[in-house]
Amino acid sequence: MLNFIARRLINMVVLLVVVSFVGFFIIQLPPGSILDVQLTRMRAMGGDISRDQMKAMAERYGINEPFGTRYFKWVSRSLQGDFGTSFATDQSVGERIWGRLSISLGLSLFALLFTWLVSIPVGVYSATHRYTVPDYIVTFLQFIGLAIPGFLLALVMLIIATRYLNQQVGGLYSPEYIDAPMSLAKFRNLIEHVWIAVLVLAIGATAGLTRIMRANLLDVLNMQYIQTARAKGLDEAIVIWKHAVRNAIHPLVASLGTLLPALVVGETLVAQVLSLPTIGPMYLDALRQQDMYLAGTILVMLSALLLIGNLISDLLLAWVDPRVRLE
Amino acid sequence: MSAKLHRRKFLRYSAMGAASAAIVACGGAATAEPTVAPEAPAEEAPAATAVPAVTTKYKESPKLAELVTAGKLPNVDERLPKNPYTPPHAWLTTGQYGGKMRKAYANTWGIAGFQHESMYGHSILRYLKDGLAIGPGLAESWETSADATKWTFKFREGLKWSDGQPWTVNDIMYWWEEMVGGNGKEAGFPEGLKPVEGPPDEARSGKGTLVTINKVDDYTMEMVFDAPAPLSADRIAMWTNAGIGPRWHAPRHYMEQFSPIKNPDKFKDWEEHSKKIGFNNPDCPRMSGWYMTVFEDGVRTVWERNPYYWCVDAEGHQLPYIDTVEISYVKDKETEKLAYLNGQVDHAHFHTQTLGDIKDFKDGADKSKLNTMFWDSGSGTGSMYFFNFDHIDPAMRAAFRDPKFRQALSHAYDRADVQKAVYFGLGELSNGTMSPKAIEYNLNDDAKAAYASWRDSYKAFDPAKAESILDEAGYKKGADGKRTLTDGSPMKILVTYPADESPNGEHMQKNERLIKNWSAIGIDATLTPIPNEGYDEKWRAGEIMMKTAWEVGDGPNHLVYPQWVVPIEGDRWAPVHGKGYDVRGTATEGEELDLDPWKRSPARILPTDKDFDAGIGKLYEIYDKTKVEPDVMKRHAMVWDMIKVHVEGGPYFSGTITNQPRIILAHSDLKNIPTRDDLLKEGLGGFVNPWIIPAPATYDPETWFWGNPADHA
Repeated sequence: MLNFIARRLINMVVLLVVVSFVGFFIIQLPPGSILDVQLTRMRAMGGDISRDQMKAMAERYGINEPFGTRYFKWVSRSLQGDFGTSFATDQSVGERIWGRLSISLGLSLFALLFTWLVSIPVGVYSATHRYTVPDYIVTFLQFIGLAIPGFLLALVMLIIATRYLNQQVGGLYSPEYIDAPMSLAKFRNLIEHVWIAVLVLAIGATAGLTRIMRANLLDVLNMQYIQTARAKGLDEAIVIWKHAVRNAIHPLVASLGTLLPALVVGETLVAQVLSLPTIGPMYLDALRQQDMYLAGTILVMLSALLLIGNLISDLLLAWVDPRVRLE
Repeated sequence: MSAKLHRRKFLRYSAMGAASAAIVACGGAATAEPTVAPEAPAEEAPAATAVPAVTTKYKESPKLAELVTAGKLPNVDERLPKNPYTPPHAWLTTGQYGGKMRKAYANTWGIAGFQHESMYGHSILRYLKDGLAIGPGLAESWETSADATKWTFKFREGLKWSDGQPWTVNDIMYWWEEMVGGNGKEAGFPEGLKPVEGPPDEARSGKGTLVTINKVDDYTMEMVFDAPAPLSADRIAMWTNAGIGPRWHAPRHYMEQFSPIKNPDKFKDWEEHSKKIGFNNPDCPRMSGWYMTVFEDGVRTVWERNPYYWCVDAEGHQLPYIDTVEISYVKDKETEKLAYLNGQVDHAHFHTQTLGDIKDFKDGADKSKLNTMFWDSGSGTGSMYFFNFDHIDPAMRAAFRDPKFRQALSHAYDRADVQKAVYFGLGELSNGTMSPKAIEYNLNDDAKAAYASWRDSYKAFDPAKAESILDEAGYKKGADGKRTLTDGSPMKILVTYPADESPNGEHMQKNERLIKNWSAIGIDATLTPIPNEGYDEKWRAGEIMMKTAWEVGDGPNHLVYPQWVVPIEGDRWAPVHGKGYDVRGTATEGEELDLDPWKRSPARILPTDKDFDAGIGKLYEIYDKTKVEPDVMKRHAMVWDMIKVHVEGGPYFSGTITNQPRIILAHSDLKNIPTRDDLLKEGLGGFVNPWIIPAPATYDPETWFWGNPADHA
């Protein structure tokens, strides 16, 4: 077991090095640079920057340095905990990511919890009551949830919330709570602002997860050991929850591997629409503006999370399902 | 022999200076009577403990008065310079202190950057009257030698940074010598360390050599050039500085500790220095009316009144009136609009909202409480198009260089249709010029005539004329009804545009109509998106036929940024010529002379090449003279000569309309924000497009105030 974990960790380090190299290379492949972004802004409607000033800026951002130099500069600094400076705001990359991480994680965890708490029971119900009226209703709702893109739903809810519920656009708190210390009222205010995001994130995910749960459980329910259990006269609830659901849940556990990175940037589109200060939209902006160090650091962070997530899900799976061997 | 140059201008400034001094003096006299003005300090002073009431010459916000009474802040007279600046606008009334102004921007940079763009507090000089005049800023007076080689700036005595530390010429010298490496100081930088900022245009003489900046005393600075530098004051007045445009000064007492020059052991590069001086660091002292106290990335910024701000109103009240500015981040233009309509914003500058949004704003005014106002953009073209004069394909290039061809296509373009459909009938039809607000168009009758001649050239919509010009010039119609090049080979025009251009935006709406208009006279034109990445590089190499998603807005005079009139760089209508001009005087100039201009790196045409255009040669000749001409009227005349070249050999670039208005939203309770009429009485009705003449800083938001401050706490 320890041997297995050690081997996986070593692999992870090698993979991360490769990912960081390839990722950094791809990020700065498109022609143009952060300089062009700034120049365009100045020039759009009148004004220009002197040649000398541009040269100094290119120098400062290291735009004309060869790829290798930039990469090694970034890696050697990152190893000391300094991920470089974000070109867009002149802040350190670590500071920018850290500032948004808690909101990203909080939002995603909240949505995830909601998703699992709803979709597992509903999936089970829907499978055990196949082809009944409630099952049809649930199925119908699920397909709607799957069919409507999250960002569209977010837009619609945003309009409803501002037009009819008198809510603020964007942000996490109302103005009167922003500077106040955390309190019950402030927390309620937070909920009032994020419920749209949580709901939108959860609706899509719940729909998908319920379908998976239902299909898996239906497969398992047809197996002979379930018949055996029933024939032995076990209580139906025990048959379902203890014997069937446990075996139907494997795919959910396996999907945990991709979950960690999704927790960090899964809400990109929704957060984009709702103006939430999370990592997803920042990553998107960084890529578009060629904010290399910021984009590169987020990319490597996401890869690391994916690898860690996969390791955890493998371990979990082994724990849930004794048939899985780690060797 | 040092005579005052620009007689007229100088007289105007002196008058202005005298007037403001008089106003200040009057304000001071009024305050001397303790009974006048029910200001908070006056009320509180008796109520306070046994501290003897200090009668101050100037008055301040009650919030600051409390701090003064508590001993946390020096009194207002000590905080202000000896001669504070008073905004001179005719529309100003005396306001009252208090309240908060809320804004929103869909731009990570903007939540700090656009507020800097709205404040003139860091400027040495400033533009007044929409660019027609230059007024004082940190400098209270300035003069130049007769040949414009030596400029002397006298700064206000007693200026202070927002942390209370004195501002002196040392802060300029820190920027110039230790950040730019000027006065030859770059040689003394630690090994491998390059200057963090480059010298701005105003730091070069007409010959292109760098200035020497001397500190005469704490409040006097001298710029000494080796050749005339007549545009120095115009250029120094541009931008809001300190992060937008040339910086010009930095808080030495705070920044020194992060300098890799002062601390070579601690810092190997400029990163820490850049972080600390950046907009997003609340700890860096500023000179502006408000300074940032809270920066939350992607959420908001909060700005508080700078207790040391160096401006007062006509009655001696220290500005700004409004206590706090709060700027929220919204994700995009649509959410921004929703925030406006939802009443979450008190003032919005035009950056994202377009004329098409007017109806929504007017309909939503009940809830949003926002008045929709219009200020002139000062645009010279509206949405424009131009061909690549230096296209790499010789056959197409011959057509693009043929004035007849460009004139015909300009006559075929139905500008009125675009004006109606895209600009709601606003603005004025134009062939396309520099900003109509430019001083060379407004100064006198010659100026107005020069403007009219350029504006009206080739702008008439006349397809029949266009066809006859093309027929005569040899662009005959082939069997398929499509026109060919003069040698009979097919002509295929790609109306190129950046791929991310919004399909409903003004540029694309114009481009679609352009295609239709040109097809009608037998021109085979196709809309062709080009990926943004590398658009500019390809353009500079002559590989792209057109630019169709840009706008000319440059002013306030033609010479501070003459790129549209004279091709001196590679992004506008004659990129390969421009690059040729750009390398003049550098080592590259003499290299690769035996190669084809388009095979050089960078692609460039030099005056010795056979592809060099005589019209552009004439522009260069005039432009080079303007750079060393100290007499302002002679310079204006030279600009009019350049305009003649554009009228005769043009159009080199083609616009649609000029001066379409920009939407400004302002809360109905916000006072002292000028209307277009106010601006028209004083200047030109607004000039808000260019960054170099930074609206709304030009209209001093520090003087805006709330009719009922209590409603805006």
